[in-house]
Amino acid sequence: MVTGGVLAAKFRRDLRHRPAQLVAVVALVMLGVALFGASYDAYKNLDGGYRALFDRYRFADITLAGGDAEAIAREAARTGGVAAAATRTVADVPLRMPDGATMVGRVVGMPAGTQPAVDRVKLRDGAYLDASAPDGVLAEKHIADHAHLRPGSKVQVWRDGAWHGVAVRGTATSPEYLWPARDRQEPLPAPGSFGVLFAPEPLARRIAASASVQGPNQVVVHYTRDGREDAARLDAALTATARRYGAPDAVTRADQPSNAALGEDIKGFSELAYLFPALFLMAAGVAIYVVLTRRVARDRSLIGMLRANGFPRRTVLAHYLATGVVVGLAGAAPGVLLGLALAGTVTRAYTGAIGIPDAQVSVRAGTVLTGVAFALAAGVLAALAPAVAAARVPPAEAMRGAVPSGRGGRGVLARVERLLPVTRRLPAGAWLVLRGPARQPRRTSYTALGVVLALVLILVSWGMLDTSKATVARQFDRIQRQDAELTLAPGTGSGSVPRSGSGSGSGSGSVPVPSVLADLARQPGVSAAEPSANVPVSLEAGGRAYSTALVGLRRDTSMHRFLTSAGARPLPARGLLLGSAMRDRLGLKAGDRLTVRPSTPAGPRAGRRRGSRWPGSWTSRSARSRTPRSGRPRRSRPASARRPCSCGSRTAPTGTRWNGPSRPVRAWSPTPTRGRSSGP
Amino acid sequence: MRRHDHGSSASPASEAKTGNAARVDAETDGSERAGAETGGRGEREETAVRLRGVGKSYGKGHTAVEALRGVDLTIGTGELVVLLGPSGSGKTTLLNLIGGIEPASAGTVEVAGRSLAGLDEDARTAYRRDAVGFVFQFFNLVPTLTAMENVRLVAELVDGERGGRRAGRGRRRERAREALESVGLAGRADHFPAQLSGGEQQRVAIARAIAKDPELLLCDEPTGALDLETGLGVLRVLQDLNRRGRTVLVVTHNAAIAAIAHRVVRMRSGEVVDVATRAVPADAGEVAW
Ligand SMILES: Nc1ncnc2c1ncn2[C@@H]1O[C@H](COP(=O)(O)OP(=O)(O)O)[C@@H](O)[C@H]1O
Ligand SMILES: [Mg+2]
Repeated sequence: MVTGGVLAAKFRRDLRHRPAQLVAVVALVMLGVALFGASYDAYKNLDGGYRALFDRYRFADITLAGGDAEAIAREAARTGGVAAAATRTVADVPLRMPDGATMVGRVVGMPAGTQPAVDRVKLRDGAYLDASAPDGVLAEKHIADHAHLRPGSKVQVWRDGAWHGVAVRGTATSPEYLWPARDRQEPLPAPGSFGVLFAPEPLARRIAASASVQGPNQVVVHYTRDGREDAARLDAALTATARRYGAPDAVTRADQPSNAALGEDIKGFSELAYLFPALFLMAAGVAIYVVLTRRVARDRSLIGMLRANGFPRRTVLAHYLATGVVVGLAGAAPGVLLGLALAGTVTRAYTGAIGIPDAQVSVRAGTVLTGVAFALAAGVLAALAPAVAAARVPPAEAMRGAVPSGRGGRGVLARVERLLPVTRRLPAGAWLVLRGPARQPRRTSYTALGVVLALVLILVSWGMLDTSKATVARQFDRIQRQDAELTLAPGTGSGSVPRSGSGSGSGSGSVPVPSVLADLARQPGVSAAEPSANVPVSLEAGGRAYSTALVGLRRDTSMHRFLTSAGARPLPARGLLLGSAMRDRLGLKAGDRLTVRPSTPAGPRAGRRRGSRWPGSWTSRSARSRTPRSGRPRRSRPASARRPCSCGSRTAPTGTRWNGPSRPVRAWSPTPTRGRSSGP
Repeated sequence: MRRHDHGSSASPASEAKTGNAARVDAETDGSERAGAETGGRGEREETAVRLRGVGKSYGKGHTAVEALRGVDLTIGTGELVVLLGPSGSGKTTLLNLIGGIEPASAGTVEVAGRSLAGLDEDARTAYRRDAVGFVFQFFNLVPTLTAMENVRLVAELVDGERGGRRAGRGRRRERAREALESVGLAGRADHFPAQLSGGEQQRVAIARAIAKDPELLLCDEPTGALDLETGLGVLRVLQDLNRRGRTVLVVTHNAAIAAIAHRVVRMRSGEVVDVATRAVPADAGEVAW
């Protein structure tokens, strides 16, 4: 690197000449490398952790809802690349916790006595399901933690018009609910507004029957390793199979609500892994460049002396390049260690906060090497230009005294002077000040760049905080404006409505909500109450399908605003309004037609009447996908429905009627969800 | 920057000055005898430096500067030659050409019988390393190295590149110490330049130049940045080195210094205008200005 012991001594002393400067640059490199290591390794840890977890607990690669589940499972099991296919019964029903809190619950059927072939759970405490305890269930971790459920706790399930007690045998984590997302439209449910119970299959069926679900209504499929390599093809084949047996809804692993939410989240780590380190390393690079350029300018006559005495160019080049190498390595060494430590901490904190079992923390040689390579590259690249300039200093420079080097910079100033004659009146002192930066235009611009980078670093960090705050504010202050929402039970039996009296809803759009609304509107402190409907559907257009929720709102709703770049717009009188994300995903434009199929986790059986959820609330569950982000909100007409659905119900193309409940509904779950407090 | 027309004595500039060059040549011949009498190291090449029709121009077109024109000059081995001339007369340029720092634009430069024309950058670097010691007006000591280290810096290079890597640290140190001793600064070996006076700094620079035992010592205004007393000290050291057999070329604009020279070459506007020989050069101690 540096030939000659004495020249090496010069190098060391030059480095020590301004220790604070050196420490600052090394610290920048260190931070860059550490941030890279921490975020990239955290990403890798989490990604690898999920993979391992998914393998161990046989996380479903695709979930097929509705149709003839048994037939679908049989066909799926025969398909190449499928390791296992299992049927189960899943239903969303009201739950009541020991402290009396009610919520939307999900009951998932499991074989008693043995773990299922697909979507196994990890028992945290208590005992697994057992045939000898037909009313014993497992509580999923999030609700167990929220409601303080322990083995022996009693939870009530709404079934056949009354609360029925079930016993918590144990609590468990599930790969399906690492993130407690109810569906993709609600990735951030308020704590305590949603909970999952794993029940013996016979119990799950009994509970589901009261929610109009007969028999197993889901098929979960786990692929082999080879099958997963070719997941897209297998997904398509199984979706087609499911279609043939009447199942409208297929959710791939990528779209699975919990996995999708976590995937988005950890993707952030991999993006951060490059953005911030790049900024820090660039700042370090600019600092190295400026420092070295100054040093070379100062050393010109010394470099000339070395060259005159016969030091070859490469020695001079290496001498100055070494600064970049040393700073890079000096920053990389502690940076790598710090990064490794941080990666472990970040991974453990993250998995701990989310409650992911078995966090994986491993040291990756690749990350270490990449970090060191980045630091070295930054150091060497930054030092290269000054080092080359040093090597080009002619030996004749030794003959000159300490003459200021450079091109004089008078060109720039002279031009300014010519173009702006006023500047001639500037006092000589001002010219003296200006001439300094103008003498070394490149160095000056890099110094400016360094300052700019530092500002960028600060602004980006601020901006990220600000953006998330602004996003939350936009979502909950300007788009979703309700302070609380009340979810009404689906298909609740008649005669069990305690407050809303009787209302009959046999006809389309005829619902008992008005009386509930009237009750609510009378409550002190309530300024407005509105009904809305939320129906899980699958949207299809041009061969593409997407599972989402159809939200019905009053046309003149004050609870939800539809923001476009041109301001808020009202709901269309006819057709559907789609969010820009959904529009892009389905490749639609205004005026296109699309097919809407109903689908729920407890998917409707063909030909059966099915009550949709009728929230007596001011809600939009799918604000994210429905908020038109582009300037052109979409209005689309359902392919097979004449009547557009902006507020109410209609005949679905499958022939399934999914009107409002034909029986009086009962307000069973006042779940006050202050929008801002939602999210675990 | 590099010119490739070295050795072309047919450049218009040198042709125009043929008469002048001839006159200088004649006197140079006389001085060679004088040099032989003084130095008189029989086994070495008699002529240390020979310039024929040397020209040097900087820049191109109407901004071109002709720093040297048709210079003919011969320096005998073991001579102490003083190059005298006003500022801007081309003294430093001439030194640069002899020292291999820059190539000549015209004419031939020979040092110890070896032509510098046609040497590429690497070869010129090697030539400077092996054959020439430089002393600069502004010393050019590395401020972060001690006197001893400044001397060793060059000693190491020479050892390393001449294939004498095995020479060993001890020998290198010893040579550096000898060089410092010969300029009378053995006692200040561990001082940094900032702790030395200007004259001491220049003596360290001289020690550095002789540490590699060069055939030729080229000094550009070695006393230019010094007061009388310290300047005389430096001249004494140079004269001493010359008396021990080294060929020394001293560039100066100070006419008083010419007293110590065997020969005085006067320059003006890039041309050699006069060469004077002294049978008995004055002792550096007797010089005053
Ligand atoms: N690198 C260069 N570029 C352009 N002109 C130069 C350069 N070096 C020297 N000169 C010019 O050549 C002439 C002789 O310069 P120099 O040899 O330094 O004179 P001296 O050493 O006698 O004062 C001067 O006119 C000077 O301006
Ligand atoms: Mg000069």
